[in-house]
Amino acid sequence: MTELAGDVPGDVPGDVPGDVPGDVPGDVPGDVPGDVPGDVSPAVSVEGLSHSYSERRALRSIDLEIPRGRLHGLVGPNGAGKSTLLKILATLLETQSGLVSVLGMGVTEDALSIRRRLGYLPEDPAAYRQMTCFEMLDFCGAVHGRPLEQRDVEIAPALEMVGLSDRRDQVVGTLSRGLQRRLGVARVLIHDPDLLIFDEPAAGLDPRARIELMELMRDLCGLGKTVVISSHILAELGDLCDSVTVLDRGRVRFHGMIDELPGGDGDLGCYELRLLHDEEAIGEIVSVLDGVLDVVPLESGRAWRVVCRSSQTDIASLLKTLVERGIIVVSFVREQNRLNEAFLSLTTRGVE
Amino acid sequence: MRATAANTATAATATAATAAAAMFTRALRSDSRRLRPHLFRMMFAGLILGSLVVAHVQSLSLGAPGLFFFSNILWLNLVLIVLAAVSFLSTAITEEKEEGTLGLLMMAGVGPLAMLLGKSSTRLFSTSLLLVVQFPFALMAIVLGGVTFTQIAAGYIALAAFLALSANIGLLTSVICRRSGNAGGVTLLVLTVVLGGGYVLRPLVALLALAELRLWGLERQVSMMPLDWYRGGSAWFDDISSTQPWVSVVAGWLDDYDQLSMVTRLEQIGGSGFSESLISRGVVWDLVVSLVLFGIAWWVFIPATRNALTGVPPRGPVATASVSGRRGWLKWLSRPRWLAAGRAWRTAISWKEFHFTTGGVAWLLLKTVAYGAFLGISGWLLFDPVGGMPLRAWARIVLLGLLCFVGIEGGVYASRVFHDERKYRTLGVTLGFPIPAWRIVLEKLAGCSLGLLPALGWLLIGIQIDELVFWDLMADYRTWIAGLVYLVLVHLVLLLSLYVRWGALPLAVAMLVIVVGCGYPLMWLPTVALGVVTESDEAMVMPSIYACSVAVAVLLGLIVLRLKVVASES
Repeated sequence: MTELAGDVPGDVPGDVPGDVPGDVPGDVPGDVPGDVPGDVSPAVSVEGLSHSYSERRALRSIDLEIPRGRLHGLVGPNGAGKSTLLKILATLLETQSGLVSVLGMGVTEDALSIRRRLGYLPEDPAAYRQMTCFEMLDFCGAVHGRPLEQRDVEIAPALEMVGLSDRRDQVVGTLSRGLQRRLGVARVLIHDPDLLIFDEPAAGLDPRARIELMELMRDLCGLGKTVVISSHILAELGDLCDSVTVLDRGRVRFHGMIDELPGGDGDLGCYELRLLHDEEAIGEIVSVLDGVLDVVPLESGRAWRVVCRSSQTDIASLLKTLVERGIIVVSFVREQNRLNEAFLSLTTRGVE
Repeated sequence: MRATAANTATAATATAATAAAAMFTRALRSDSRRLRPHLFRMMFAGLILGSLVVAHVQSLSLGAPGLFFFSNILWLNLVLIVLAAVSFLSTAITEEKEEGTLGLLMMAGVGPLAMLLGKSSTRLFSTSLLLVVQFPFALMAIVLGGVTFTQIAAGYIALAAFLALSANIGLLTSVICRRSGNAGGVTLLVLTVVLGGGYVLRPLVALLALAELRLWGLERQVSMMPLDWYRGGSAWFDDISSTQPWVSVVAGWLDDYDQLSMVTRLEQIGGSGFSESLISRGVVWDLVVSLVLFGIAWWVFIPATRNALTGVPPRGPVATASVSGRRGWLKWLSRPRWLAAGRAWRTAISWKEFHFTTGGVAWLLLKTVAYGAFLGISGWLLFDPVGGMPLRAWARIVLLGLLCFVGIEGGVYASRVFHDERKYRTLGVTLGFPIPAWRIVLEKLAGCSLGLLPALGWLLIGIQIDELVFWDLMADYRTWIAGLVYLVLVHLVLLLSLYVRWGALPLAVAMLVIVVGCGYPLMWLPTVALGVVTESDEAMVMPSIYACSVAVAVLLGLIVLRLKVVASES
């Protein structure tokens, strides 16, 4: 595990709280805990955090630190504790044990100050469905203390950024789920926060919107903001994030830079299989072969991810099987994204 | 060709039956697995058992305690059925509309008949279990004396028939209305008329007759409506029939209906010497009307739900073009710009509640006109210094009427403050704003209070009619106790709306009726003792002030705790 503080691109002049546009009017620099000129405290610092729901332990003595300006991924199987951790960081869930500070402030004692500088988009894109898009952003801006003139300036670019300019007077409830999620992204950006937390932000988005969202996150990171993303789409996270935390059953299995991810046990291999035609039965054909652990459709019946144990799987015979069945293989390439392999080697099957 | 059509119809019926059976089974399974319904039934059985103990104690000094006990159970059940109809039975279809799952069910091949059968029969069954669970206890009334088995059987048959009627009234309103709140409100209104019968409708007929007399300038030909119309009403009806024959016809109908009504039936069954048949005309009437209502619900299902398949919450009369201005003059006329929500205020949560919970400017104007009309029309109809109602009596009616409107509006808003946010899953977002939870609650209440301005404004004007009426009311310690209990009710509604999906208001009313009913003997003694010792009405309010303050503080604490849990769940 790698300690990250201090060696990050986000630690740059201009990233100093007080300079950032996220400081809302009325928040005199310095009057908010953690908003001290020259403050180089990490964006997120967690020490010995544990959390339980009734008898189920969601988090077990977690330690991690995310420096400012970092685009950080949070991955793990279902039930690993990702959403619990994010809710604690967003000050929506009280800590039971351990120390958690966000932007230099304690989540328990400075929850409101943190919320002023934090944008949290939950997994469910909850939106005020009776309002129009414009009204919703206007409302959220006003709640964060943005004056009318400032909201006038900020709402249009926010709508533009998420591609909803032409729907500003449409009632939110009439938008599709994907568009509501885009609006959710605009909502968390409207008060120009320093730290953005996204829980499965790409869920329900079409491929174009997903790519645009990822680009947007890069841009935000470039502006000195810290972005924490939880996602199941490992390929995108692998390409996007600077660093990553792998959670499994409430424990941190890895926390560090993407480049430092372990390559698993060296035996796990992820291959991208592309076919000329749709072939829905590919899972049944390939999964029975020796050493094949998983066959997952990617976009359609033409693209699949095959996860296998290299020592047990004869790639040549796998391809031969496909050819014998008349399936035309366009490409069969081992994925270079190490996050998939690391994820498989670091996490266990099923949930506790 | 005919055979094919018959086959198609048979297949459709079979599909509907299968779907209804599937929904029924699912609901039964879900009901049997959940703890809350069992606890509720157990609590109700406990309540009956408690009544039995009270009846037993009373048997030491009272004749026919069994009859007293049984009569109490009958009325308690009637209240329970009304509450179930308003909260539980009237939301069968509206909750699917609000969740946006109605379209999914229809796409899955669940037709209107299957949906109506599946949704209503499960709820009817679940509610009827409450009647079943108490039946063995009710039989013990025979042992206590004064009641026969026929009476008990007739009582439960009458209640079952009324339950079927209430369920189908609720079902029809839930098909027609878009929101559960509206469906519950309409069901309550209809049930009030169904139960009240002549008691409720006679004053309306009288008011219509009065309006006609006023319009034709005939008010001097008959005596005006007496102050005690509800007691000596029939004589006045005879009098007024001399100039308006239609009144006597309607009065005859109302008399006939009163013979059929549930209230009369329960009075007969709960009285001594009951010797009528088990199945009365009223039972047959209830069942026939139930079937007719079910048929209407089936008939109107498709047209009534056509626009409610998306689950989009209604905006009410709030215009959408908040900034971009007009989009066609016809559109502008129907939703002028000044009806739009406009820009969010500094107290943004109040802005949101005002526009999207109370209905905004449009509802504000509508209520201003409606309450003004109430004041004006009631004065025009009732106030007659020569032969009819004096100014003071009219002032009392205006004051109490407007206070009722304020109370009802306040209760409805309280039930919607958190309910809508929970339903649309936005409460977590709201609680995640950089505002303390207590301020969020206050801002929400402040926003809703703006919706009360028309009623409060007219109340101030109404007070000017005769200030003495107002001061008399204020001087009465019972007014203060009622106000305090209302404050507790509002907090209870707020709390319950964070737990239940629908029916927080009727549930809170029911809980409060039970608590106040049980607590009354406890509070009565210190209240009267203080009054006697201090010879002051003000002192008599003190125990209630303490009790209500403690209740409000506890409820507030529970609300904040619950908000934290809801925020973490989102």
